[in-house]
Amino acid sequence: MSSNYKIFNEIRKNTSGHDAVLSNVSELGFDKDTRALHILWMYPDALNVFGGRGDLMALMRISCLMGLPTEMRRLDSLADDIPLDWADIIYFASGDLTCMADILKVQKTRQEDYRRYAESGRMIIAVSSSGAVLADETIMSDGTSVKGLGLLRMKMTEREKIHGDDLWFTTREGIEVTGNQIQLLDVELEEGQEPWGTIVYGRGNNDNGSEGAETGNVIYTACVGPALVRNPWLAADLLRRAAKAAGVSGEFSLDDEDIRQEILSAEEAREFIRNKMQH
Amino acid sequence: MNSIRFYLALWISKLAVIVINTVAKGRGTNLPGQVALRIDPLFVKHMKGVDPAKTVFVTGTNGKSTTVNMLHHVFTSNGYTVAANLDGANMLTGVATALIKDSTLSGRIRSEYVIMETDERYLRFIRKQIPARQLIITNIQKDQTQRNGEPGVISRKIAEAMGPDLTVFVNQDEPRSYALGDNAGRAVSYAVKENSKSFHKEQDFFSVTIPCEKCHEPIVFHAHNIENVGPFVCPACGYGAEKPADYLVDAVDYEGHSFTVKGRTYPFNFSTPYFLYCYISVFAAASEMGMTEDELWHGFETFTDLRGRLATKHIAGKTLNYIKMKQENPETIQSSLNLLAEDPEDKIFMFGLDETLDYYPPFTNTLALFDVDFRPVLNSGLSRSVCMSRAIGRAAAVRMLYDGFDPDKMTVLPASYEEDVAAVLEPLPDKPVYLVEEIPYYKKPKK
Repeated sequence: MSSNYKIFNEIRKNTSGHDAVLSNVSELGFDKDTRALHILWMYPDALNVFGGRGDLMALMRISCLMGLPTEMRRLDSLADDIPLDWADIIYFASGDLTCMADILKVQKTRQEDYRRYAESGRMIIAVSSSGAVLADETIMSDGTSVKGLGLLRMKMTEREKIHGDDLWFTTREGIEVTGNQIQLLDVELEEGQEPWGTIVYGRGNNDNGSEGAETGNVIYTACVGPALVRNPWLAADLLRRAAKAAGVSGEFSLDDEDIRQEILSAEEAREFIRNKMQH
Repeated sequence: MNSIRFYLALWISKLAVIVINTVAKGRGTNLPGQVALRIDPLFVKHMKGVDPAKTVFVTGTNGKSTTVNMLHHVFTSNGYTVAANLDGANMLTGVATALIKDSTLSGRIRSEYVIMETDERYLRFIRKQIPARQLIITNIQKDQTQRNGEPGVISRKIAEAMGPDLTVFVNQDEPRSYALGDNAGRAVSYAVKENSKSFHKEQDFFSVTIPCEKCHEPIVFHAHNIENVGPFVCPACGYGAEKPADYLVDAVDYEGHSFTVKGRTYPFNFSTPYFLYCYISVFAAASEMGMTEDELWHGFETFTDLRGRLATKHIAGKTLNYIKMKQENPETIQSSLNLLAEDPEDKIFMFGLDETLDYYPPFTNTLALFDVDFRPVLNSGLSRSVCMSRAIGRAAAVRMLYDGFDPDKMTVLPASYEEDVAAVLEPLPDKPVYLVEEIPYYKKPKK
């Protein structure tokens, strides 16, 4: 194990309640003025299905393992100002569909700022139903629709029946990802919109071999599990991309020995899925 | 034509009951109903003698079976007759089967009352055929993601079944189900007062609560009587109890096995807070239907649930405390973890999971693991942890690493076969052993 192995648990233990900022900067031995990567966790309580907080824990834990100085803030209330100028990664974990209209109402007031944020190359990630935030439009089963920020050219439509299964795909960057998919919304990519990955097993966007959507550093995925816990190599890649865009310099590598259990876990999942594919 | 179809459905399904009872007694909780509904899709509606005013449906994520069994017992132990699906077959076919078994050859229900457990998603279909006037909602929580997706889906499905003709009994301590009271003609609330087993959760940066049903801002629990159930308020919009609950358990004596409601003490044959919500919802529904306090006292005194979630087993010279949970329901996992964390001794913690199969295909469902907190177990004293699963044992081990478990004190087994468990336990020092595992899987034969 690397010397950073226990840092995540140590900084976590030292927090109480919802501290304003969770930071690994001093624990990693950096000067307090060091430019850290800034992660903004959007509405942790409202966007809280399918173990979504695990992705945020993964981003901080993997940052620690990689020696990447990172600070994380929660945006708890819809009434809070969104610190877009501060953030390098904005993370919308998967949330209940019933929350989406209210969440979007607030985000839409900052639509132009979000557009400039995305154009600057900084990262936004939305998972599962929270993809509605980034989409052009989402149509609910009762016929109502909500307009998203339109940062990804996709349309989402609530399914009659929920789809729940494993998901295995390869991202455009060549990273292999396994996880779960609980699909309440089918996703139709509009012309010119690139998917994030290609399906090895599972439904993905609309059972057409594509998964998610990606434009620059704006990413939507259906993969839950939480995906970044189950695929720390993916978390590492996203962190490196975001760090580069933010100008946080350094060589940030992830030692296989630190994620031995995750490597074995992913192999366990792939073996299980392979068996399904054969039968 | 309709009546011919109904009688044909009734008699063939009754024959099916006789055949199933002959070849496999105790089975056939759905098949006769399936047969009947295949012949007459409105079979349940066509049954005679079902009085909606004397019919109670029970729905929700957790506690449906216990509540139905308790309500049934309270009525029958006082001499009332009841048709019920006590075996948990809670879709339309299960309801139909229970009614077939309770009916005469002319399709008339023999019992005065009907008490049915109803699946959350199918309640709307069942209520179209029997417009029950009473509905108990236990709670709405994350569970069975392949079927339900997210809690909001469950709420929406239940709401679709409700209307102005309904009296709904809602849990005032559970934010999601309490909000459903708005969809009924009349809402009767029940709750449990903070007591000696209520708790506050350890808070850190990653702690989350559930969102308000009205404004989606964070809910604050003043205390948890059980996981995510307790007196609460939304500080943003004020959603919460506007007045004291209509029915309140206001003094619990776990040692003395009693609780009080409206100033009278009742016997309580259990020691876990979970059951208090079953008692008080039953109290509320039965009272509103005219049952006296003496009758309730008598029913509670004689009620015991034989299907408890705790058991002990001897293995490799050690006593194994077996706590059954529903691995897709974070609240039952957390309650199980909290229960074993009450033991301050250094312990061996075994955690058994399996792939999920509600619908085909099964999948490596790890979603609930990050909705629970394993730190109470770690902090209570732990000498070893053992994760057991074919498909997600490693994933469970990873989850524990996130909560600070020592990787050198972890073992992962590919399944919970007794001989493998024994081999792991054999060389370990003599410590209390706790096994938390999905309800049906333990003791499965080794292939």
